[in-house]
Amino acid sequence: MAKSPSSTKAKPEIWEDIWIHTCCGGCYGTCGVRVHRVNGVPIAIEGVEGSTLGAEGGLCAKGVSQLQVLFDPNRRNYPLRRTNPKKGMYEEGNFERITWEEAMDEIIPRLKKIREEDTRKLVWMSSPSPNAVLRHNFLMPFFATYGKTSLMGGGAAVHCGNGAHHVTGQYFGSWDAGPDWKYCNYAMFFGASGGFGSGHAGTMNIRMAAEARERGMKMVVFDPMCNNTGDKATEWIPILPGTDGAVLVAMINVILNDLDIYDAPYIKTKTNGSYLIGPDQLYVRDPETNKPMIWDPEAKAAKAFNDPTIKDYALEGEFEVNGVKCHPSFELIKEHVKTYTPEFAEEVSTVPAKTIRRIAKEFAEAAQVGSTIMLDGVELPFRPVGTAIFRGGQGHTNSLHSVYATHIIGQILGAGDVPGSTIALCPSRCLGDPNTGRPEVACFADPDGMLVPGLWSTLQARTAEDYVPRHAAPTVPCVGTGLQELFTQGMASVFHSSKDRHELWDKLGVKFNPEMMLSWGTNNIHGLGNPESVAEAVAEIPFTVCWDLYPTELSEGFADIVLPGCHHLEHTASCGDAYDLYFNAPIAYEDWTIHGTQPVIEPQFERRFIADVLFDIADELGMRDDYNETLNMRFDIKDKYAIKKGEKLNITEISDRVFKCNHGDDKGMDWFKENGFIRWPKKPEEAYWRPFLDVRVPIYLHDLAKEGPTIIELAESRDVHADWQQYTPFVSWFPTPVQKVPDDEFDLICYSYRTTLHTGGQTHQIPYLVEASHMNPHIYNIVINRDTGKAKGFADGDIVTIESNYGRTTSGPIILSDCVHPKCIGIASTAGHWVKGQPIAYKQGVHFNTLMELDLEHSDPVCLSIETSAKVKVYKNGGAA
Amino acid sequence: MRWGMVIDKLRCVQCYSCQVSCKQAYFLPPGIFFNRVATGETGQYPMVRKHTFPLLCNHCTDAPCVNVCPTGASYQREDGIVVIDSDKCVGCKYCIMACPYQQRTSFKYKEQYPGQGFNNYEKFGMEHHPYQEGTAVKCTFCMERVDDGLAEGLTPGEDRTATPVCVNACPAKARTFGDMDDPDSKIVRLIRERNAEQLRPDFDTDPSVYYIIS
Repeated sequence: MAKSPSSTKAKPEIWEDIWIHTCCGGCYGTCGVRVHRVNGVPIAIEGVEGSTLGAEGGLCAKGVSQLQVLFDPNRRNYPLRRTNPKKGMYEEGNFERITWEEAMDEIIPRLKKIREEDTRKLVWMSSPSPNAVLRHNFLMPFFATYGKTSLMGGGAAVHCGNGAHHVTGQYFGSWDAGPDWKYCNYAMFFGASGGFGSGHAGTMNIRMAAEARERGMKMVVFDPMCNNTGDKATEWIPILPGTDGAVLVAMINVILNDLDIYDAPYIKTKTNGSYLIGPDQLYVRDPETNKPMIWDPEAKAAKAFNDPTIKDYALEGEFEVNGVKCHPSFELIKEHVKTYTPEFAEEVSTVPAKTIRRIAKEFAEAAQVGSTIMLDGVELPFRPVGTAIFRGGQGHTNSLHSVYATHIIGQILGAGDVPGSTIALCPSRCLGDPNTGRPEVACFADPDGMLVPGLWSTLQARTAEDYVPRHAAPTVPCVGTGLQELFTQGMASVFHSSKDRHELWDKLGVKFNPEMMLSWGTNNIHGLGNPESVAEAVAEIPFTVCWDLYPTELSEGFADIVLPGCHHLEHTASCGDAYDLYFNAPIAYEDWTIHGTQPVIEPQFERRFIADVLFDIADELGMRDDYNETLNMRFDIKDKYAIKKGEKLNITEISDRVFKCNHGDDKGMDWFKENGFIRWPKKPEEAYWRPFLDVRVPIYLHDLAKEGPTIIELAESRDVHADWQQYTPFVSWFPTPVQKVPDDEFDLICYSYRTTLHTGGQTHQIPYLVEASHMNPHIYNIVINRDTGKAKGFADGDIVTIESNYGRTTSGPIILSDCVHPKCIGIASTAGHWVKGQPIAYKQGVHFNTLMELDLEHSDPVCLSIETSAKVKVYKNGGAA
Repeated sequence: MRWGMVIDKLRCVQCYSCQVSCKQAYFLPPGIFFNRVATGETGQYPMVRKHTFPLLCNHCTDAPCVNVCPTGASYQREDGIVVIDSDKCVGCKYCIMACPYQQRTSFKYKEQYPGQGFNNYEKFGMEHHPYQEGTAVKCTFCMERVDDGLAEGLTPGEDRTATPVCVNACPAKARTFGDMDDPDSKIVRLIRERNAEQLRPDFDTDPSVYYIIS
């Protein structure tokens, strides 16, 4: 009779039966996990009861099935050198096995040469994809020490969060934001899935969102598809891709101008809504201090925003200051949004105007502006309304404005980082372990009073005293192939591999081509968009090194050297990403939990953990001391714990010092190996920090008004054109290229959507997940609206081709569904691999990304997010419909 | 004492963790499930919902599989758990045919990576938790965990090591396990207060698995 694992205990042949604490590396969530190892073989993974970094004992299927990745027989085991001189999307590497010494002999001289000549010739790619995230804290400092390199998006970057992360950093001091599940009563989601199987803080969100639903939280989901989020919603509202911003700005209009509901005290003191704006659209500044000014109606005078004598702030009115007529920005915003009527939004989005009015009213009234709540003896504002947007809502050329709109609608109601509101994921204030006060993190204000995220694992300023602007003024010629010297608000850039890259590089003065590329677990050929363009760009780079778990379209087609990476259960013991609180930490009003990581099995074959090898490379390049110093800064390792000049510590030894420095001498690496994690209570002032920190958010988009004219002038003078009107300080909606394509031939909008089973492209090589994917009709089939599909003569299971107006096609089985907007067609996840080295993933599902175009026209001209929907036609294989 | 489970469909987000955790815990090869997640759609656009039912053996009070078993391999314990003794099973598949919920499978080893051999995890399972090919298999409500837990004085459904793997694994905390004969147990309260329903009660087998539908 088959027994469960617990029955191993009494068997004499069982010489080992232990559980080992570490962190999951299956996605960027890095949940705490325990691994069951018996007789040296890891046999099960589960969540950690008692840890708030995860699902309190639960774990998602992706995390559980990481054991299959560990044992995948297709893994890279040895360093390899390419013997096929031809590079291309469908080429195979025909690799020969070499030694680590031979591999380093290929790599080190090139890194030395580039470092001597111009470090920008080195392109590197990393991603928060499976098995990649736990090494970022060692990679980032390494390249910061090496020199100014070019960071290229591996797929995740420009797709998912260029707009979202940019705005949530400005508004919440956090990588992401979402509703406070504990107290929120009314949430609106725009193309987001946090809490419903994927997204940041994945399992934490799942657990807490489930509790919120049980509590009766109302949830309205705007999405082209009734996917998992819509399924759990009180109300699913179908919407066309790329039009979320139109609906949001129309709702802001309804709330401000029809309902006249807003949180005046919050807008006055927590936003720039009270700042005076002159005719040049810029802040009116105090001639003496250069501080932005407000109008004090009691004193009938303009004052610097931080003047301690201010009695009140005007939000409306015309004033004359410094010889110019000016208005509070709030008044200008209120006037501007009048152009976005619900009827206009209905026309572009298909969401009925009456629905927009109703939802806006419900949301504004649910905010209970003016109410308070007592939490553990602390009285706090209570605004139980929240919003969330992610890839689906913001993966468009109007990304930045759509995300601003998503959060401005909450900010005008005072619903930011207070109980029930949209809150930072993760909290932007940590007062530290009660025993040491570390890590201590808090947002702070820049000279204009605007929020600057408080970071801990960082090489940037941790406090206002050390603040320097995080990007320089726009300039040309550009020096990097990402062109971010001009596009200063772009977090990750597509121009390394866009179709128009050479034209843009020439026009904007980029003087060199990349000479070497290092990829850590990325696969931009499959994961980015327009694979032909990406393939051309990668082939132009003379030398490529890929650090992989198993073969990818990138490494097979283009790598000169392949290095065998470690699975996260093979990683050297470390503090991992434990202190990357900006990116991942227990959310909302839940205890702090810090986990350590450790190997549950020694690396097999000749696999090596990249972070270990970086020290060898640093030695060879003669930069070990500098790298150590950068690590001291990154982790804020201080005093007796700091790595000293000449010291050669390994990762475990450095992590031991990090832990002891942060939690005391009795809490080193060994303690974390044995106990797994440290937990301490979060205070209300940490979870709901907004009332306690004197920082403001820009509901008036001053940066765009300030930098826009320069960027536009520099670009236009070099014959570079884009949708420059997006550099407006007023939150707006702009049509995407998809909306501009007439319906006559290309009559549907194709979008991609997340599933709970997959993160990025790598999870399709996991048998458990592929098996489950085949049991779900919405994962490996193309999904079209039932009536639309019938009208085209389709039946379930037909093999169809989707052709975008850019001329590329993808193909697969179709199903007819009621869960899809009639004008849309959907493809799940990053599936459709063609590399033969992933036999489980091979040809599973449909490759969406090939439909997307990569160029400036299809990028947000401010934040560089790419357009992730495409105008398409669809026909049965064998001929056009 | 009668063990039962409540699955809250409002909490479930179709993440498949129950299905995958169970497969991992019991070394189940491709194609064999003790837990499954069935999906589909209900309604018409735009008044539509995804349709998700996590499924497992219902450990029916009047279990058709037990009734048809010619060898006594399928039997019901006093605590309600329906068990298959693979040493007595002759692989006739009557039980597989009889189960109205389609929760039984004839066991066959298969490689997780077809044609690439069994890996160390699979070999460990074959050595330490062997199955007899051709015999019927299904969910056991993790009876060894329940039994071991009770022997250690633990409470199944409350103490983790005494609780079924799928209950522990669920990130949405959608599953509750407990004694349906105890009127004060959480599971009985949930069934009562949330009007939990059995799946297809018209099969008339009195399942021990309940669903919170709304």
